[in-house]
Amino acid sequence: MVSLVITVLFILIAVFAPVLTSFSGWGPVSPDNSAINPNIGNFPYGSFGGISLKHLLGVEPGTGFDLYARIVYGMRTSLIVGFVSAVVSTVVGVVVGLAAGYFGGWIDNLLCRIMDIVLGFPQLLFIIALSPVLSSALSTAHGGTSENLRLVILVINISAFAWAYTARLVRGQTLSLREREFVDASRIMGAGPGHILFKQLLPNLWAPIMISFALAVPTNITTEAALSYLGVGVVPPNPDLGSLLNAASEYFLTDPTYLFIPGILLLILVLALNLLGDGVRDALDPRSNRS
Amino acid sequence: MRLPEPRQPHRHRLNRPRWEPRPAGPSPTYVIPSTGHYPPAHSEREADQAPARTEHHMFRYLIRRLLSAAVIILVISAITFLIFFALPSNPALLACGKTCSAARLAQIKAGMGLDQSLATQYWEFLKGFFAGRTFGDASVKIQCNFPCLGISFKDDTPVFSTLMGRFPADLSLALGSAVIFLVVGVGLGVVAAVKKGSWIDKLAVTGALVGVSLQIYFVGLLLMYVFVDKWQILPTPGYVPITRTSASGSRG
Amino acid sequence: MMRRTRAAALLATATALVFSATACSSSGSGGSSSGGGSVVKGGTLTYLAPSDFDYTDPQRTYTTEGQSMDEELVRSLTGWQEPVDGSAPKLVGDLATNTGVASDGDTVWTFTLRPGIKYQDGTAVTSYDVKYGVERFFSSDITGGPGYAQEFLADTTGYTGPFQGKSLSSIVTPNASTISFHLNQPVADFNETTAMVGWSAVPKAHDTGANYSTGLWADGPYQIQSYQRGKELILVKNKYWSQATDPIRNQNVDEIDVKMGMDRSAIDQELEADGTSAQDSIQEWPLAGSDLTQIANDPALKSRYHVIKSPGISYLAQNMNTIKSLPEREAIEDAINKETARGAFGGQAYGDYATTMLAPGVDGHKDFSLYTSNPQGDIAAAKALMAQAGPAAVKTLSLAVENTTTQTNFADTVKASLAQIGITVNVVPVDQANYFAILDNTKNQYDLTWMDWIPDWPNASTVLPILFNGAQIKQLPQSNQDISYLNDPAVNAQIANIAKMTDINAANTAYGNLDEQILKDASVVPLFYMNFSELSGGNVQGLTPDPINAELNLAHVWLKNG
Repeated sequence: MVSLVITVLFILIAVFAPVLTSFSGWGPVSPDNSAINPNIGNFPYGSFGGISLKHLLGVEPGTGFDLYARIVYGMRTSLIVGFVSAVVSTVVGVVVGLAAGYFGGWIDNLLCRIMDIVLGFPQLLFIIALSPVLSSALSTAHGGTSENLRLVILVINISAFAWAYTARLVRGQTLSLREREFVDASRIMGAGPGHILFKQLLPNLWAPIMISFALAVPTNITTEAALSYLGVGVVPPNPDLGSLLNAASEYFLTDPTYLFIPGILLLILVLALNLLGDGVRDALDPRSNRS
Repeated sequence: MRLPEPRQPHRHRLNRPRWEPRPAGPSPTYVIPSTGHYPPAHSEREADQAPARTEHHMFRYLIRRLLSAAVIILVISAITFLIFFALPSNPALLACGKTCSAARLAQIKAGMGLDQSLATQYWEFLKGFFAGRTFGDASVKIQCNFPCLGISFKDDTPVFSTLMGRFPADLSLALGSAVIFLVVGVGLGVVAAVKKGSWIDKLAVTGALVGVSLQIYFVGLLLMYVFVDKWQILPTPGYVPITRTSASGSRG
Repeated sequence: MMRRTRAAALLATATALVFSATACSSSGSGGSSSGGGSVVKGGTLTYLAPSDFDYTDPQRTYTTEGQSMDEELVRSLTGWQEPVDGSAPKLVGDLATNTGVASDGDTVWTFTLRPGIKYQDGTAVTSYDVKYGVERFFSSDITGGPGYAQEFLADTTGYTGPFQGKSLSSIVTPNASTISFHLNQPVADFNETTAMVGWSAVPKAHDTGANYSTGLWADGPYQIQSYQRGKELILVKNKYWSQATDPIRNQNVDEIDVKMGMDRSAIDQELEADGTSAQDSIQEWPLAGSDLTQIANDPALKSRYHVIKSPGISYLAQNMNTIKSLPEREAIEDAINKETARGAFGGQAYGDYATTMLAPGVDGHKDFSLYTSNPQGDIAAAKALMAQAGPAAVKTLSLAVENTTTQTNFADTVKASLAQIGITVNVVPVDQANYFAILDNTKNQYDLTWMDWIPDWPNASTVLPILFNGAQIKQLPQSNQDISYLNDPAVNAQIANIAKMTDINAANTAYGNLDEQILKDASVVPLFYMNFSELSGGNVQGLTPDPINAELNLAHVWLKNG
């Protein structure tokens, strides 16, 4: 329950980011040059990373951006990427899993081999290698790749690997469901594969799909943060919790506040989503009922 | 509501591709003279040699799995190979230095074997893995023996020996964290399952969830900040200590 | 060596160093040893490196640290004498008796070797070995090194190195102590080219081709005892080296132990703390991030803190192919806030604000400022220029930087600067390891590109003709250095003119004027004349900042408690 409240709170923060930052007056990419000292590496004036009434969570060293605004907007990026890639990977995974489980035979064989390959791939290595290829393919003559396009690339990259988990799960469930009487019954009554797949099987797969979706969101947020941390995710100055952590890691001895605030917020966000995912599972899957 | 009888044929059909030998006749992996179990006639096999048959099928199953694993490794290596050639980096250009003339670039490309087709390069790589390769046109060539993964464009040392050089550190990390997560993870998991609903269960599950939710790079820095810089218990490491596995492992 | 992106080293935090301008020279070390007589011999100098050298093979190394380390192992034809008192470097003969004799209008350069120079096995160094060494530059195995041998030597077409027994006709060795180079063009400063370590002797009998980095046969004061790539390199004294033959180096410490693979901030912290293990240490890379704010308040550290003024320049290239409007380019020159930009790179310690492409340490430097000299920029002037550019101005520009925090922070400051004159900047972070290889390819053009350039020797001939020769763009499509794609016929003609000058002083003056002429096109925004800062351990003495290599010079190093 607490996890639900926290998750909703985070989502509200993300949705109302512009309103929340309008109070302080500093956007996520508007530098406050008066808050940093250019002679010593644009390091914020004052203690605790320049926390003041003007900058509630301090100032980003190096750029002079308001950390409060960056974190609020960063939450938005993390949640958008997490949710969108979870939706994409779940849809793809469900379609592939249904097809593999229902049709069987060579289709199943082929799809399973593809899943094996995707799951066997060193994902991070692959994405690191793929990101420049994709972005150079999508860049225009002027302006390179815009920040929003990079977000799309990121979603594609994450979903490209995440779907296989869902597909596996759905395939297994479909395999057992399709032998059930109600499927046989509708087949005898002359229903086509489309009807059986989407009207008979899919409604019964709802619970496992919801569970895998709920658990995919925090996993994807973690992946996204890790990719941004490694420099192949969100492009600066687009705010994002992972790239904030990446930047902060280089200042963690001189300005630990800069590291701790986004780090702890990311921890709380992912933890709440994980708890929520567990809650969804407990509610939908009676076998794993804990209490 | 379950009616076991009608379902039988379906289940059988499902299992058939995996467990039953193809009727088309013995495949190469099928002939195992040394075991002496191979049945001469179809009927005889069905009638008398049931134990031999399961053993036989097990073996066949293993071979199949191994073969498909090998194919998957092959596909993954081929795709990885392709990706690194699709990258906008060019090792020959990196090695050529600045103000690199076209002639010099072509010469270095040829020296690295990058002037050949991708398929040829991949074939050379596969062949070299087993047969070994030599590199360079100097008086002293660089020898790369089985299992040859090629040589580094950067420092001209065989990749395999570089990997082996890093291996002890990886192994110690993997073993160390495996011990921690097995002891803590399995222990807590068992206790949590036995004392379901107790405070220890809740604590273990919460701990596990927190562990899963932690960002390894964040925790690593946090631990370094606390242990190395604030308390000065540990010396400055060359790498960030990886301890998250112990936390995440307790989820089991 | 060139385009060494050690800029990234000075992470923004790095330089929370509030030192006064007078503290910039390494006063502590310079002063104490120049008194003379106090030099102590012996001890082991530890050299802390985050990673291995590119190569120690003298024909292959092309990084500042590789060149600098090789100078302890290998003697080149000429070299830079850098006195302990910190006075300006002076070109002298190293293997050669003098700085070479030019004839035929600077197209033939002849060097005579000093007698008595020996390898680590006691055999004498001959001119044949130097010829063989320079010929190695042409082999497909000997990659990575500078391309001057290919560029300058005559009759090199089709030559692929000495390993198949062929030799180069344009290098003439009439006897064991004389060597002449026949060039395909007049090169007035060729004797500065030969100060790079590749212009040195390699004994054929000990050449191990691509593996020569680990088996290097030394004729300098130190030789390789053991070398595990990526882990450790141990140098010990070459007992056949003699001080009498060497005007550049001393042989004070017994051993130099290069420890590789330590985290950069860990190295900084260890040197800062100056514990027993760090007292005899120096660092390879300039100070990185972490807790240097503490150093700022600690006057005790100032004697161990060295600022190396490199002849390098950090700049922003404006692509002439895509930003076609001159007023817009001029507006960008005026709009960039160099103060916050420098802050992103580390602040004051990163270097001085630049207004020219030739740094003050480079021969030919002329002091001028065509655009605003206010480091915060002049937005009013920039806005007026944008109005003048009108609809011809491109309002969305891409900016390529390395994918490091330092560089993306820098990109953010540029984005903020240009937003004030109505230009939207899309930042494109490019993989750091391949940054220059990617950007040098004419296929990968961006509107704005961050670049740096450290000349191979401090002469304008290694800066302007390389960075602004528009004729090169078509000739070297994959390794183009003219990142602003400036192809101004007047500039190209003047570059060709100066190359023909044999009077080096006249050439230098002409280069200074050419610098100003180039900046009138507003194809580059000169940002900073780069400095590098390093710490050394408490016992390390006799270090001099080497402005040629942009490294700490090890030639005179000694240890107090050695």
